[in-house]
Amino acid sequence: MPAHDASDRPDVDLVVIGGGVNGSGVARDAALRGLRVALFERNDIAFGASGNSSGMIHGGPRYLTYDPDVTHTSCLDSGHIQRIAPHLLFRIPFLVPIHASRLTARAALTGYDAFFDLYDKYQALKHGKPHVRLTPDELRQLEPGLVSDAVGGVTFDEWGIDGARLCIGNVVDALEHGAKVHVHTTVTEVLRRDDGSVTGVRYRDRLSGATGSVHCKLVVNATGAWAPLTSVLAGLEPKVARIRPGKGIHVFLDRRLTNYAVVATAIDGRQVFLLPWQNTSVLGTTDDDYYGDLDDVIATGDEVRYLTQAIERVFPAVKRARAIGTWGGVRPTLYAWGRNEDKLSREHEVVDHAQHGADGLYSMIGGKLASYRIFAEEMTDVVARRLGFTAPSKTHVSPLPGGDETIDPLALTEGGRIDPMAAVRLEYRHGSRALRVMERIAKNPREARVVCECEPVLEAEVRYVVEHELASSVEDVSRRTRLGLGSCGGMRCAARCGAIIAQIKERSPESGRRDALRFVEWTRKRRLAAVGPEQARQEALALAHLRAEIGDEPGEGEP
Amino acid sequence: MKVVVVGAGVAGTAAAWAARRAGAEVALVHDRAGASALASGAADWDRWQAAAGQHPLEADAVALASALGYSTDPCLVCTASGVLRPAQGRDRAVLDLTLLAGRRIGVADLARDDWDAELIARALSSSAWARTTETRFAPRALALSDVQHASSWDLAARFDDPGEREKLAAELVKGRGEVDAWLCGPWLGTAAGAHEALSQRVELPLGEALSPPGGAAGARFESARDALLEQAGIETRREAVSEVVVGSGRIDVHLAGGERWGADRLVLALGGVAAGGVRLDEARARFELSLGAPVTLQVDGLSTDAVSTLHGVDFAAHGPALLEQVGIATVGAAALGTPSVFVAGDVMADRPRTWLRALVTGLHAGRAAGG
Ligand SMILES: Cc1cc2nc3c(=O)[nH]c(=O)nc-3n(C[C@H](O)[C@H](O)[C@H](O)COP(=O)(O)OP(=O)(O)OC[C@H]3O[C@@H](n4cnc5c(N)ncnc54)[C@H](O)[C@@H]3O)c2cc1C
Ligand SMILES: Cc1cc2nc3c(=O)[nH]c(=O)nc-3n(C[C@H](O)[C@H](O)[C@H](O)COP(=O)(O)OP(=O)(O)OC[C@H]3O[C@@H](n4cnc5c(N)ncnc54)[C@H](O)[C@@H]3O)c2cc1C
Repeated sequence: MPAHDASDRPDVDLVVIGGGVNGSGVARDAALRGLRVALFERNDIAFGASGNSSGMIHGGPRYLTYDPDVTHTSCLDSGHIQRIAPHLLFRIPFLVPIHASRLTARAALTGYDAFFDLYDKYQALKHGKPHVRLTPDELRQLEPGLVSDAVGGVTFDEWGIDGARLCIGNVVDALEHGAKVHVHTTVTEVLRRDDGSVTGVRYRDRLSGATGSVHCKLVVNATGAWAPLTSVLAGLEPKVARIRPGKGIHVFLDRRLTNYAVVATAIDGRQVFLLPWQNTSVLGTTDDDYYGDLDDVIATGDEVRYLTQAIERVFPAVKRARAIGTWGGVRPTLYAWGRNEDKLSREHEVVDHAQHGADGLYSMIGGKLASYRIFAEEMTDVVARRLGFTAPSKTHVSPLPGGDETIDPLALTEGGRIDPMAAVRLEYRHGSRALRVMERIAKNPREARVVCECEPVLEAEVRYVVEHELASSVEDVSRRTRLGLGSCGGMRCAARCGAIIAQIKERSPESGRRDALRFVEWTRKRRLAAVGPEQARQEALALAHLRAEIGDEPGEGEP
Repeated sequence: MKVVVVGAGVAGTAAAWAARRAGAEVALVHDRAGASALASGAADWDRWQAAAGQHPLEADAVALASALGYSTDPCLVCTASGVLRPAQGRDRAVLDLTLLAGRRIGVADLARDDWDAELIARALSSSAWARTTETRFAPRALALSDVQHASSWDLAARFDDPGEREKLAAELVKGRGEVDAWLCGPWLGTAAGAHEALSQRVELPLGEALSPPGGAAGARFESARDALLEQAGIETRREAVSEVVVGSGRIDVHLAGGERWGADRLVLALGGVAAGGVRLDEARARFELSLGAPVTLQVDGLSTDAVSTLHGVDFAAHGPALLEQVGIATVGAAALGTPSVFVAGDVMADRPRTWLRALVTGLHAGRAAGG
């Protein structure tokens, strides 16, 4: 311990632990209000639930019957998120077919109709369209791939988002307002004075191994499903930040199968969906108690089959679709013993650990992507008030990076020099900041080259996210750009991306190759549970190609 | 003796060639691009050829490889990721660096998405081999039009044309005096002879890096193969085989179009999962051949039934290696329990999937079937 009481001269006002949507949101809000903030993220920004959710800014109609407050706050904040990051939201119209096989099909249809009448009241808050009741013919016209025994259906409107981009937007804005952000740096201890109050954190950089400490006035534990473990780092019992860890997985396909998100009922009665999401279709999701390794959440074959079997019953072609990957995350749900996972409320809560003897430490428990902003505002209100900062939150009006103005992606194609698809995807991810990426190309035309053909991703964007968005590995770049997540699983782009990063970071080409191989291994591990007939051949080709091209083991090629 | 060979990869071609040389009447049928048509242009015996421990090859293997455009001398090749690696043989259009130690090597830059000359040169220059031998790699731009966005296969095919090839040659000639050799991407022609003509014209050692799947090396293999089969007088049909029925003393080969071929002996050289010769069956989600045949499929010494669960093959539990192990169980060159059916190449269970093994097992199967 240092001889002096460092709390007299804290390095920052606030330390935020966790770079998920909640931690990023607090760091941004606090930085905007003028607090000096340091954020620590053990893995990468959006590594946890925030980068592995269903990616919906939904109003949560399923909470409507037993927890309408959740629906209201979600819808309200969905409207705010649209205002600050219009580029990141895309409309996902949902379709609920009612199948004749249900004995009470007609009554069910009327029930859904009435239910969504109620939901329509909240839709205006998020610029959603009112629901529509459909005849069987209309249903068939909209989605010809649906089984044809439906007596009708209902549509309702939701918004989709790339959760990782949302986190990155918050983090970059925090950085630009003076916050310090340490990625791949884990907090190893929350330092406390003799009276129990917190005075800082100790950390370890997981890439370099370097350790250090930062002194601060207050600490926010925003570590999602890790929250109980983080309390232990402060010398508290895990149960002071108790959550119910609900693992959810998604399977994504090589293309969009439908225009509408289609809802189906799983074998156990839960609702699951087939979702058109960015340029893929996504099957989701599961909800099971999880006590495994939070740093390595992998879908299993059983979970994949649970989803495909359910979707198959309403959309048979999904059986023949090519699954190219899975993702999995753990929901940090508010703890309530014994209730069915699905019935748990997604409401959030700020825990003040003064009651546990750790004054100055707070935990953020629960929440959703959709309500991250308001949760972050509530948390920051508490912190700012204590530190005497009176400025109100501006996060509902102040745009996230790239959200300040709308640009036409086709204007980025520079008369055909840039592939229109690449331009559209670039604008989606970066909003008006796509112009900054394009400026790079104007200066150095070689950066117009395509690195990842599937997504597609340009070299300029790879360099941009390494230089401005804290990416330092192929996996980091993939989280920010979706590079390597298409049907080739990084087979064609990982090596090149690794080489580019190695060059920027002045590392050896050899280390770039190791990085690429790690990434390919990482995507493969997430793909294997979903490998079916359509993907098996591609998988075998990729194995052979990588061996021929890079070798099984990095460095193997060195004679 | 009538021999039918199914498959026209390296293994099927070798089997047909050897059976013909053994005096049999040979017919070959194949339908899709297998691993040989997608391969890199390097020929290994074991998975990643160690510099030491070259596998000795019989004279027939060397001669056949040569007829297919491959050299079987140990070599040092490089890839589009800037990796240097040894191999036991190579497509002759692939640059062998062994004799270029200590030289200046120009890396041709066409500003292409799939060939980053700058990063490739950087990676190769930093390899231990380049540093100890003081070999230098540097990118050099070639002023050619319309080469940036064509697929690498199309580009390679373009340089089959003598006029187009001359444009490339004229650019490469400019390197004389400044570079001692040229490293190009996999674009130096899909026809036999294109690369050789270019080398003679430029008067500098020049060659390709290894090809990605579907690149020029595979295309060159296919044209060399077609020439070889024709020259050897082997009847060739491009059609899928749906089933083979093995009776006592006679084999019936059912083609997808309904035709039926009779044979005394059969060689199955269907390739592995990468070729589509073995696939995952959709309904039962287990491995099966692309045609019906009375043979046993196995993985890792076990029948394939043993690796599938109620819901199919559990790759998460077994690892992706299953995809490269599954194949027909054999005794010597014959299928286990079916002595008149011979097996060669990637479709054999539990063998490394390599080019030279496909060639050698093809020769063995062809001799056994034809003799
Ligand atoms: C399958 C699934 C689907 C979902 N779908 C939706 C949806 O459609 N819409 C919606 O609104 N919500 C959805 N959610 C909920 C939402 O994703 C989460 O509630 C939200 O992302 C939680 O954010 P967080 O920041 O609290 O946690 P996380 O995103 O998990 O972030 C916690 C971070 O803390 C880091 N960390 C842990 N320990 C340490 C340490 N010691 N030091 C430094 N860093 C540390 C971790 O690496 C991690 O990045 C879904 C969740 C799941 C799992
Ligand atoms: C991307 C890649 C890179 C590689 N790199 C290397 C390397 O660097 N070094 C190395 O040594 N090896 C490499 N290999 C492996 C090597 O290419 C193979 O081991 C070899 O080519 C296998 O040859 P084969 O004749 O057994 O099978 P294939 O070439 O796969 O031939 C199979 C044949 O069977 C036919 N067929 C299948 N089913 C039917 C049916 N029902 N009816 C009719 N015909 C059918 C197909 O049409 C095809 O002609 C690589 C392979 C790939 C895919």
